[in-house]
Amino acid sequence: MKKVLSALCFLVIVIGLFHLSNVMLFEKQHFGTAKNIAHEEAEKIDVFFIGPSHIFYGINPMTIWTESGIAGYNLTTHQQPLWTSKLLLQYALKHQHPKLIVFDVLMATNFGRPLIGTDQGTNMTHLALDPIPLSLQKIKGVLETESIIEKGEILLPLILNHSRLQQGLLTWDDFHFFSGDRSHPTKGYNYTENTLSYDRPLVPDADTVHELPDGMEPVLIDFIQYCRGQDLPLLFIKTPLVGNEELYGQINLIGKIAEQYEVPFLDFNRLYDEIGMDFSVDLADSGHLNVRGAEKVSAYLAGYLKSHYDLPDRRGDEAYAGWEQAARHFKSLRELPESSDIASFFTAADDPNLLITVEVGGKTGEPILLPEEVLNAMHGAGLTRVPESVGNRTYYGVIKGGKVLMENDSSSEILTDEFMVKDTRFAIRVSPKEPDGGSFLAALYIDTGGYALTDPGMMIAAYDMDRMEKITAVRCAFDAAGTIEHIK
Amino acid sequence: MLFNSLHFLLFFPLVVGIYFVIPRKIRWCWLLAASYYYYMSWNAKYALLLAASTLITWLSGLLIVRCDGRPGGEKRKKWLVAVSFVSNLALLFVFKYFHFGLSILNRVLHVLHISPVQTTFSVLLPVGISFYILQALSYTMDVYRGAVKVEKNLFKYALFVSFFPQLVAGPIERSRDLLPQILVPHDFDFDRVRRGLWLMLWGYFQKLVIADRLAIFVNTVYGDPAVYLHGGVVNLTTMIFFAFQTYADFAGYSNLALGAAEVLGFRLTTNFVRPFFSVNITEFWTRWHVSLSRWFVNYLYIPLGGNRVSPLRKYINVMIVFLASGLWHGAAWTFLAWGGLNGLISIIERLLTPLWRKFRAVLKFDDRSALMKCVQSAYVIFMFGLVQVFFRSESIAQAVDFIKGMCRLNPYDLFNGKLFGFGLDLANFIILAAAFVVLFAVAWNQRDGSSLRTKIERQPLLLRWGLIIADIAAVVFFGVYGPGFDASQFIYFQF
Repeated sequence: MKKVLSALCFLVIVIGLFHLSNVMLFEKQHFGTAKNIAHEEAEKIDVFFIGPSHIFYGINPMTIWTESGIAGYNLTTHQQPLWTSKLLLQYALKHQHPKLIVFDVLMATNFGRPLIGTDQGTNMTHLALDPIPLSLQKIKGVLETESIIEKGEILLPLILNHSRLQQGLLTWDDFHFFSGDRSHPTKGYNYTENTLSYDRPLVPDADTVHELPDGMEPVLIDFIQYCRGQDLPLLFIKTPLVGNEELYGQINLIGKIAEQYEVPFLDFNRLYDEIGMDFSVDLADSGHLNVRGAEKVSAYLAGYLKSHYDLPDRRGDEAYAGWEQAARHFKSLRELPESSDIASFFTAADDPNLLITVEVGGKTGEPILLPEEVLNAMHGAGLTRVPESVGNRTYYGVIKGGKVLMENDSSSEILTDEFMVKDTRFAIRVSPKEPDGGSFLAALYIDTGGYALTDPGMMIAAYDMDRMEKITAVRCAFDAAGTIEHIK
Repeated sequence: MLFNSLHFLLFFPLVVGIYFVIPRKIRWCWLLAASYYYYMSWNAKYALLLAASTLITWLSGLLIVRCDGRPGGEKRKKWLVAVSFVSNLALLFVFKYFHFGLSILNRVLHVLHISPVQTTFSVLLPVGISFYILQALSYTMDVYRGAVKVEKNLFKYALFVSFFPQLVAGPIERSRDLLPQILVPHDFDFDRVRRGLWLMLWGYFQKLVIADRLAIFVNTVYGDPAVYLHGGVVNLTTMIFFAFQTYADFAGYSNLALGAAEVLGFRLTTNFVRPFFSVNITEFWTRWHVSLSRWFVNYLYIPLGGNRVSPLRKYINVMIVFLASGLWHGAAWTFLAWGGLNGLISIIERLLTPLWRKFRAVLKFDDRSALMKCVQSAYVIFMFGLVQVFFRSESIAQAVDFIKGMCRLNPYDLFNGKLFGFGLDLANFIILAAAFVVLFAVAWNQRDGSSLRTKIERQPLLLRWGLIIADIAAVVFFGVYGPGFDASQFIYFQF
């Protein structure tokens, strides 16, 4: 008996380590929100937006929140194969009871064709399903899904992912995935300002239909039946894109299938005027909306959902502070790059996904006073050592995730400091010049790049620690004109 | 269903679980069904071959026993043995040597200006045919010699021939060793099952971490004439790597087979006894693929007269055995050359042994000193590696080109990073180096013939668990498997 117990203990340890290895080694793409869904508070999400990149670029839950108070979440992965959507939803339903499923039908069209029976399809299935822990539900789901060819590999993703260790591809996220807040800071939305201009496409009328790739229709119908079985209202959508006649024809055919199964279908390609779509500025590329396009589509969708479904307005509900926080983070991403208000950087600094660095210095012997509202904002953000008057003093401060990480000032010394955020090294250098040497020099290095300031004043950089991307960096001269310049 | 496939990882626990749950009386039936399922997972049709070989040798056993005490019985028994051998070897010839034989015949016909024989007969070599036919034939011979009791139950005998852990690549068991184990039921024994699983784990380490990693380098070099024609150090490294690849691959397989059998309650022949620790190639062949060497000694070398003949005849017998062994490995001139070279080295070593003894006595060498052991091991690895060039090459010409290319030595290539250009980067070399240290440590711990597993069993729980978890982690994280790598065939599965 003792031996059997010992063997069982050993087995538990091995299975535990196996699970941890799986978690550590799967590829953690920023937009793969399946990895985050388990860490959303239970029973909070009212609407799931499911689909591929057209969802994570095209539907902005924060805009929907701001416009309507609907608590939505993008359950998406890159090129999410049609057959994984059901399994992802199954997994999400363990902890959430949404009132509506919004499903982008892109992957039932020609976009899904390259995934059928190919290595690419297996890879995309990995991206979607690897974050889901092994369970009886996953085993059953994968075994029942005909479109998944490499069933063993999908159930035991270590078969694929162990090579990431050998190839040295592990990142900070892999080693720290066990700790910290793993909920998605923008509820599955992927921010991009990239812009490509297109002519407004000519969309054929709704009666022009083209066949779907083999095998897609049954998977689509299976998804409809699954939602029906779970008593989940389903809404099909297709975000705006620049396509050809065949693609629009396939979307039209999906519209007919939806009609047959009494699933409402919101094809934004028939609503360009209603949403105010401007193809010269609203697309990141031919298929993906940028932040402007996403705002237009999401604002329209928010109105549609409000008028067609009985979805609660959660704004003001403390239990939904996560959406409020996400909306604030999105606001920072959206507004700071255009902001001319220095104080706004410090008032936004309590965002857990924001990093703010500030470096200040003046011309030796010529003190300048920092504007009072700036000083107050800095104090409000917790920066206490900032001098009221700079001239013969230099100063820097760093606020990371709402907390002051470091702060220093000096009248003569060169100040240097450095810190790591995930895998990225940040280095600060602030040096006063000699009395006859003119103004000070400040620099912020991020890995090998960086920003510098050679004139008296202040340099602020805002960094998004979620995407690990710069939001903006500004130089402020505090001259008579109070110039603020965004560093490109 | 390779041992390193996901299919086997599902199959084996299922077989074991059901085996110990069902009544003892029918456990062998379950194993027989599992064994045939295992074999049919490659190609269901080839189970007919397995069944045919089983039936022939089983009948031969029954008929041989019937001849006992009858007038003319001895002669009839010899005829029955001959019929069993000829019919089984005919099966082997048709499926393994037909095209090789035809190519030889056509060469002869070409010399005689006669049109070559054309054939549309095309067949894939049934996996493991060389192994189970030898094993089945051993039964015929053992019954004939009275070394084993005849088995009257065809299905129990069928399990002896088809027992899945050793069906496709050995060890080739003697009927007197394995048949009695089939006739008795085996109960669940925690310690035995655990020891079996440990051995399987070690087998996976040898196969996935070492052999399949070395295979990447070896295949890259052998696949590119532009490399091996002028390889120098690269060829030398490849030669050594292939020697170790063969060892890790086959010893890994054997450990998996032994471990799987042990889990089920069976004890199979240890196939590898630290062969690279041998003093010379002659001894090496008594420690490498022991079950095959034993088969050839028992059923070929001894019937040829063994050692009880003139020295010349003895050397001829040695050469015949090695040539037969070469031909057994594969139907190609490269395998014949491989067998011939091994035979030649073995004969030369035997001839030089008296001279060596005198030389040693004069210079007062201690054969057991650490230095001499290192020299002996280096000699064995080098000579074995050199002969293995013929084993690995597609043709004699390629083997010769490879060896010529090896002579273009440029020692600088050892240090200029050139070796990292053949599929294994620095990280992989580090993993290999660590794995070699483990391989050596395991062999070193077994040098007195003791069981490393017994030693591990005596360790404190935490150390024991740590070792096993480290082995599992090494296999999982550093094993060569997954997309981009087909579940690699064990080298000896092709025989």
